[in-house]
Amino acid sequence: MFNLLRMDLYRLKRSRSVYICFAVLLVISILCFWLVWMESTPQGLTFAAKIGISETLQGDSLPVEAYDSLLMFREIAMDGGAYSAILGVLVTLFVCLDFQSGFLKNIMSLHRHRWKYVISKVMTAGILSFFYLTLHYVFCVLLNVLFGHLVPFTDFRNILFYLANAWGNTTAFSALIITVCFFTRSIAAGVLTSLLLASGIVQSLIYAFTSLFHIEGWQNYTLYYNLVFAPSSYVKIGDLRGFVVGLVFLILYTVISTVSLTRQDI
Amino acid sequence: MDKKWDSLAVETMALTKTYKGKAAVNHLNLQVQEGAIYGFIGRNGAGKSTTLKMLCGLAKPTAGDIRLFGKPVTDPLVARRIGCLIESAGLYPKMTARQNMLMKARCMGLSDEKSVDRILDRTGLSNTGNKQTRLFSMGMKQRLGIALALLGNPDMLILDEPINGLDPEGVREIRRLIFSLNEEGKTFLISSHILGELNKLSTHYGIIKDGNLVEQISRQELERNCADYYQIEVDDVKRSLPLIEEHIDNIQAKVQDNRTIRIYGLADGAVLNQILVENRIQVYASGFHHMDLEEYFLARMDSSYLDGSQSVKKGEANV
Repeated sequence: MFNLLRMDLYRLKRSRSVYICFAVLLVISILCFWLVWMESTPQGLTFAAKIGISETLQGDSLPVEAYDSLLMFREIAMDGGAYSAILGVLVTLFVCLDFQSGFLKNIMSLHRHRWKYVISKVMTAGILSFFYLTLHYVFCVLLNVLFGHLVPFTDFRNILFYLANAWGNTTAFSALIITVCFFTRSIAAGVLTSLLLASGIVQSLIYAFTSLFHIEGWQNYTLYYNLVFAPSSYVKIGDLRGFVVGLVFLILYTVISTVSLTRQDI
Repeated sequence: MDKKWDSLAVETMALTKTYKGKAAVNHLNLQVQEGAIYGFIGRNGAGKSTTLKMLCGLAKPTAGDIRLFGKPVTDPLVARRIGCLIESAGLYPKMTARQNMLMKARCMGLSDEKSVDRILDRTGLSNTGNKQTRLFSMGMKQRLGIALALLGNPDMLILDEPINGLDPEGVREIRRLIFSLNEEGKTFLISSHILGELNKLSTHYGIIKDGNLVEQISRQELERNCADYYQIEVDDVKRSLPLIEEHIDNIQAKVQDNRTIRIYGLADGAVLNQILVENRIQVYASGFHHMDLEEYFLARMDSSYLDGSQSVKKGEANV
């Protein structure tokens, strides 16, 4: 299994899409910080007026003073689903190319225990998500410094708590996308699933439907909910729910992927 | 190197694979001896690739058993003794030949990068540099596929259509490579539509039709079975055939087209010509021929012709 992981990491390192997707995240971050800078600093407001931008604060928008670096990060990457969507697309490309190129035949002719392949892919997605989250957060902190400390820094323990929760849930989300890729072997299906699930469209639709019957409590146990509405700090034992949900789904999707792949002919 | 004809590299017992109730491979009993170059022949859809996929662990048999070097196909250690090239090379298009090789080397846990370079050199791909494999010709891809199969120094290579898309020079290079690897003791199981090439390579043959193994035969047996036949071109096939059957015993006559008849087991062509001419049948051409693998294969594919036996049925004619 570790040979497979070594192979996947070798490929990941050489994959251009890894860097392109990360660059997209960084560009989104720069854009967000720039917008915050324009609306919250005198220099920014002057600049905005100069280039003809006028903005109106929405009634439900938080004032900039209410933000800290973690909340900024969450708004930029997590709440809109940008991070999950980008990670999902990347995982789709990574997994489906094994099928489309036919290299999977080279792998499967050597590794008769297919669960090793599944675990290797999930671990690769986990490692990727770990680096993406960490580097993206560090980048956001650097942007905050560059834009003149727009928001205060968050307590390190809270950062760790939130990022660990996000890591668990995004890795489980990657496992879900891997499952979809194994079932469909289609990049289009993987990308579409990533976008629909990460943006919360599917969750919203099902929620709207189930709320008609007053059975909407299920949404507390979805990956989407536990990523977007995760607590920013640990206060009570219930705050660990996101970790449990992430772990359960990670195991579930890994098992489904293994069963699916084991039953398939390559 | 001495051939190890006594032990089997591949043995399948009643190997069966069905898709939606239809048997792609049906109770196949294949035996490939160690050190052999086994040519696996069959029409498109006969079940060749499905069989090879099952041997490589890429497809699960519906029923039956596979033993590779005496061990079950599911044995992870056995997988290391086999190199596969099934259907296409299976390459990451945006990687170079060397990077693709390194990928598989890592997958196998090989740390010796020199072996990668050695194999690339041996397959004539050492000078491809930074060229991505998506820019490779079909022949180069096939060669890289063989190079990938060679990684880890396997004891047996299972190659599905390995010379597809190769130019004549490339075919010759691959032939040389296969011969030299076979000299080192490696066993080959090769499927190909290019029967002429397979004829030059193989020490043993297996013919598969509709998922059933029609025949397994050694090169020597094939030579014996590729009997001479007498071919005549006449103006009236319908009148000629009963005449031939009536006048000459212990032969088998087969109509090829509306003017050609092949007669197997005939000793004297002149007698036959005389009979036909005396009956006012015009003979345009006649002569003895020797079957090659292609003709033998086509004959074996025609079930009404050599139905399940290795010898030519005499005294029966097929129209």
